[in-house]
Amino acid sequence: MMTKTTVVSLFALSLLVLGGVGYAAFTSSVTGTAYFTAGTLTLGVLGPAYGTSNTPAGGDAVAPTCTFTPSSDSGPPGSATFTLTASNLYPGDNGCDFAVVIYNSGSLPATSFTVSYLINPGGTDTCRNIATSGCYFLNDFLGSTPATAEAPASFLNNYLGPGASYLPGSDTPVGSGPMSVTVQPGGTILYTGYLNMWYCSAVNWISPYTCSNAQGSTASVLVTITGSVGADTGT
Amino acid sequence: MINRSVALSLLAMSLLISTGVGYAAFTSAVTGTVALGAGTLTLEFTSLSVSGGPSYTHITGITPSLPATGTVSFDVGPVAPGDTIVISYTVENTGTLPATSIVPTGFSMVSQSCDNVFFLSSAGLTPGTLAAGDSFSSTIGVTLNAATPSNDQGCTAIFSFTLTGSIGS
Repeated sequence: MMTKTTVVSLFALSLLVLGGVGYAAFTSSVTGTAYFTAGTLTLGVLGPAYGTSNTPAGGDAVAPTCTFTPSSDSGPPGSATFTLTASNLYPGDNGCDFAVVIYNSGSLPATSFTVSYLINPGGTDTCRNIATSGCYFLNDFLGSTPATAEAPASFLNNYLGPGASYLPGSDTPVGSGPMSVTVQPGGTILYTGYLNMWYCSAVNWISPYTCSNAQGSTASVLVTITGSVGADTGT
Repeated sequence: MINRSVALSLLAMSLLISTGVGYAAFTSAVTGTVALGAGTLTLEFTSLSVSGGPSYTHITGITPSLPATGTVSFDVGPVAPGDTIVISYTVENTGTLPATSIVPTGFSMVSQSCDNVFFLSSAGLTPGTLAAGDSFSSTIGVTLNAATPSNDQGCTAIFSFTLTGSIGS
């Protein structure tokens, strides 16, 4: 025999079942699953636009010896590097004109650039021992191809002269920038310049003695062009 | 006692009654058919777009194509350090019943391939109810840490969010 309590419970449960009270409602859900990807900024050296020039500069008869070596697989992400070497320059001589096409193969635009230099890294040449002055400087330009409102076709980037007098032989790069230049993914920018051997007659830069001491020296400049996008945290 | 004749008569009458023989009548019937159908509650994504962030960031690969119900996946990128990407989405109730409750759940990062570079930065408001045929738009924001190093280029992160509408008890 069922007790009265059992009967009442069953009756109440039946009511709940019939009425649906406390049971499933109609529902519908939508779920968004977003796959976020940090972009990439990858710069590379496509190559010299017109190569380095061994032809005499300024109408003189002395031809420097110049080599250009891209090393796009080195350096930090988002950078392109190359080495320019020059010899057979003489005081006051300009030479080894170069024009390098930097290509952005990443997915993000590069919105600013810095350029850093190591002149004669390792310091094995004569200029390392010149305490008061450097033998060489780099005069360079960073532009865009084609010219844009943000960056003309060529503008002065850096004049690595007196301020870089201690550079030869240093293992600490010195650079310039950042410069606001935008290079979209798939875009290029032109980096041009030339090397110069400082005038011996420039008092306080290279004395006649050190000038002569620099005979036979070779200028080797490791250039690193670094693009960046997003917050500049220095990393 | 019932004699035999009476018994036979009763038996015959019973047979007649049970078979209806000899009792035809005019009849007429009407039948009403009532179709009872339960309503529907169907939430659908009808649009997804980047409403905030740099111009180089886009939504691609929306699967399945919109409008769609259930789970919709999509790709967002590229993203640079310090960027906050705001995704706008629209949800429509294409059913016949109102959603008397809209509950957002799971607005969070599911996983990421690098350490602490992406994070959920905002989640827009959602309505408490949604009538049949109505829609609403809201947002979800994701930020790539400004201190993300260059070595973390290409890192990925998965974010998920769910909106559940219901009616009834």
